[in-house]
Amino acid sequence: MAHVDRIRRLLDLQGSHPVERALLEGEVVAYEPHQTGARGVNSVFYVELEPDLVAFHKPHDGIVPRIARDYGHSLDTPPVCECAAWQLARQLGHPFDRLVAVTVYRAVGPPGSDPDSWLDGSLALKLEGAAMKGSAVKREVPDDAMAAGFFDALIGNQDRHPGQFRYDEPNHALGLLDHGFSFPVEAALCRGAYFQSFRRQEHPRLTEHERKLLRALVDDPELFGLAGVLEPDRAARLRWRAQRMLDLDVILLKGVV
Amino acid sequence: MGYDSLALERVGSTREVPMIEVQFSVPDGSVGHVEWHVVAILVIDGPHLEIQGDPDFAEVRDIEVLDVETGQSVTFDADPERWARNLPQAFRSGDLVCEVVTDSSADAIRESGAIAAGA
Repeated sequence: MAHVDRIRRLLDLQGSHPVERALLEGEVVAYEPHQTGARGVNSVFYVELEPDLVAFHKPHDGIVPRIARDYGHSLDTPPVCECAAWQLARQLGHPFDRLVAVTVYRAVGPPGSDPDSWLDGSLALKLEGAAMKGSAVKREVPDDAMAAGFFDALIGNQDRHPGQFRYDEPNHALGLLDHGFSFPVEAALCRGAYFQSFRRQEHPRLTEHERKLLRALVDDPELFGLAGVLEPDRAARLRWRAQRMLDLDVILLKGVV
Repeated sequence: MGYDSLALERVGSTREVPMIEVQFSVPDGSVGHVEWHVVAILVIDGPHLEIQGDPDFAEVRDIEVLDVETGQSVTFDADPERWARNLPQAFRSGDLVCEVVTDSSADAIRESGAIAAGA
């Protein structure tokens, strides 16, 4: 199956969630690059959509090939994996659909420009809260931190570090973002596993709810629709991680992808 | 925005020019256009890490980064300068931008190159 076919399958999965629809259908009113334009960093664009949404767009064209290769990805995969992580969270349900940033695949570009010139990529809803609040998260919402550990182990998150989640302290809300480097191929590197390590330390065993979710995933030949979205080797590893956790009844260690 | 306010005074450093300074900014579109606000600055001076702004950015020290030139993973403890120079690519979400704003080694190399070239 070609990349374009996988994109088609991803588009078919999108649109059932109200925030997805808002991201997909909202008129673009602002589209701005990073202020910094730092070299060697994947391009991300600040986007404002009608009626009142802020999101971040990561086009395929903005990916630095060297960085993608290092994680075992290509220019095709990070935006797709980012969207796939949200689709999986949505289908896993509570609490994952509350924790993971709603993300869709669409073309976005400057308002007023020809939409045919817009670039395809992932568009992730801005999360409230601040980065680097890992201590507060583990102290104040440990159940969410442990759920995040399960989710990261399942998607094989390759770089969950303290800058890759947000914590809205007044509302005690954890938000997970930036899943472009996930759904790795076998033996790909894992650089950060913040919540996975926490979960392994605090409560490595799966909960009954998690076992139920994993069973449903491995019993579905379509992997909740992701079998047609992810490249075959990435889909196979998702199934492998789910089955491995079921077999061992524990959260996988960092780097077991 | 959820970040502690940035202190205006530098604390603890005795160097006039730090070895490497890394700045973190967040976008604010509430004013009709996008403004970027600095929420934290890291000053890496040899093996020392100084944080200005939100003190929770001390957690940044635990981030393992990719050295884009060599493909190796680098930690702060292993090589603070190389770690600092490669830190920006660890932040890919767009709502928190990391940038090296001062690098005295790179400045020195540029200056010596300019002199060698007869500029």
